[in-house]
Amino acid sequence: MISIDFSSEKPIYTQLFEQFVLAFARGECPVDSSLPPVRALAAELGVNMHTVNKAYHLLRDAGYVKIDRRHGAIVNPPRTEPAASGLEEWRADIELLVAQSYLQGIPQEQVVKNVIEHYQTFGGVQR
Amino acid sequence: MSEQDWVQLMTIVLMSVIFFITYHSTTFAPRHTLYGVFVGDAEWPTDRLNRLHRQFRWSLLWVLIMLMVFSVAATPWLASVHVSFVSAPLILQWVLYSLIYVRTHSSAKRLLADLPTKPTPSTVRHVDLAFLQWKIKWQVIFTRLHSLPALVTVSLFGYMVVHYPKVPEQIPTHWNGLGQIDAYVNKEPFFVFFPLGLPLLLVVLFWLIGRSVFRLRVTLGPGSNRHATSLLLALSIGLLGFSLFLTMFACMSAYSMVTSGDLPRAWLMIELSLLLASLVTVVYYFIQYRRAVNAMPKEVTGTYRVEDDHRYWKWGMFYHNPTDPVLFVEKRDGAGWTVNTGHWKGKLLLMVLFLPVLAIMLLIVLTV
Repeated sequence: MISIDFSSEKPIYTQLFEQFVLAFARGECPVDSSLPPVRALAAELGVNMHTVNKAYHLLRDAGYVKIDRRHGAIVNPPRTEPAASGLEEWRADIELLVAQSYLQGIPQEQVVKNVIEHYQTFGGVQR
Repeated sequence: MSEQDWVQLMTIVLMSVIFFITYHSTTFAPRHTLYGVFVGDAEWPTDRLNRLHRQFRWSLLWVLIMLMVFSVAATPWLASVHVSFVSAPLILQWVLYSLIYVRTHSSAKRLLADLPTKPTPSTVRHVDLAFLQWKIKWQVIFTRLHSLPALVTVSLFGYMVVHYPKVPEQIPTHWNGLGQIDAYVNKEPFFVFFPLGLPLLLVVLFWLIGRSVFRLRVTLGPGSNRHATSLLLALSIGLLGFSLFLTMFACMSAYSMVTSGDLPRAWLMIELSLLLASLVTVVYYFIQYRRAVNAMPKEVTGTYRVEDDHRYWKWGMFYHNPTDPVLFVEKRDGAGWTVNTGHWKGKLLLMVLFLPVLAIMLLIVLTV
């Protein structure tokens, strides 16, 4: 299930990117399965095709899917070890998230507990 | 009064009843809407709401009485001007009822603007990826199935072009209920190719529309796609059934033209049952779907659809959204779907449908 909030400040292509990342991690889109064709998803959402296309290209650039001329966007298996370039970006993201948690007054234990919980539901345990 | 006058009067009354049921009742209108305006769970002042309903009922009744009088009094005069002017009251009815709808819609809009607490429609759209895959699968299947009648009608047309000289000098143009020929005309290209060309055009049109059926945004809400799937399948089956009906009609008229024989009785039976079955299927599932929509708890506003946004609607009737890639959307006002005039295909479809009508009207006016 993908949920897009049309009243949100966040652009629809960013929301789509994030929703797909969550769906991949939760195993809702199995490895090697195709994402819906750009046209069909755009029609289902009632948005321009370029919006969906942009989200798919973001997913490709992040390495989560490969885009094939015949089969469209296909889900890649999760990496077994992190890429050097991605690691830097991830450090910045998590720093921001931790900073926000600190400012919001969320205790350290809760942050760590929630991270572990999420990682485990995403299949992190098996690896 | 002649039999034709009675038929016309009955048609006017029947159209009024259909109009009244679809627009006045909330059974057919999309969820949380009234006269094409989103009401949501907001509390509407009962007195103003009743006044709105009363205004709608009375305008409808007055127009109906006026039309009936006009139909009875003016038909002989209209017929004396031109035979096709006889149906003028029916066209007038369509125009006047549209005006009544637009007027009530505007009043409802004003009422909404005066509400102290505005309704808040859902802004989140949930997309069930499995349901989307299901829709894509069936879209492919039905597109392939629709190519069969298209192929048959095209080949039939081609066959008649090649074998035109072999067609007898007298060709049948009308058959009675038993399939026996009851009218002939002298052979002319128009009479030979019109009964084949019209089904051909419609079959191709249905092929294109059939593809768009699976783009309809009919999801009721997260996790309730059962009625949506049956509605989509029923619409597709109905469309395909009608397409096959037209194909069989084209085949039978071609057969009757070439052999000068009556329509085969068995074919006629199959054709009629096909038409009836398609109609019953569509009506049944449509009612089921609307029931499922109305049975949803009031607090569930469902999932956001871009066509629920009133900014894209003109007079609560015309949907214009250039960023929406979908050709058909559910109407604001009641039963059925309308085209997206922001889509190039929507513009083309409207032109294809209206240009012949305009051309015929122009021809009539010019020849009077």
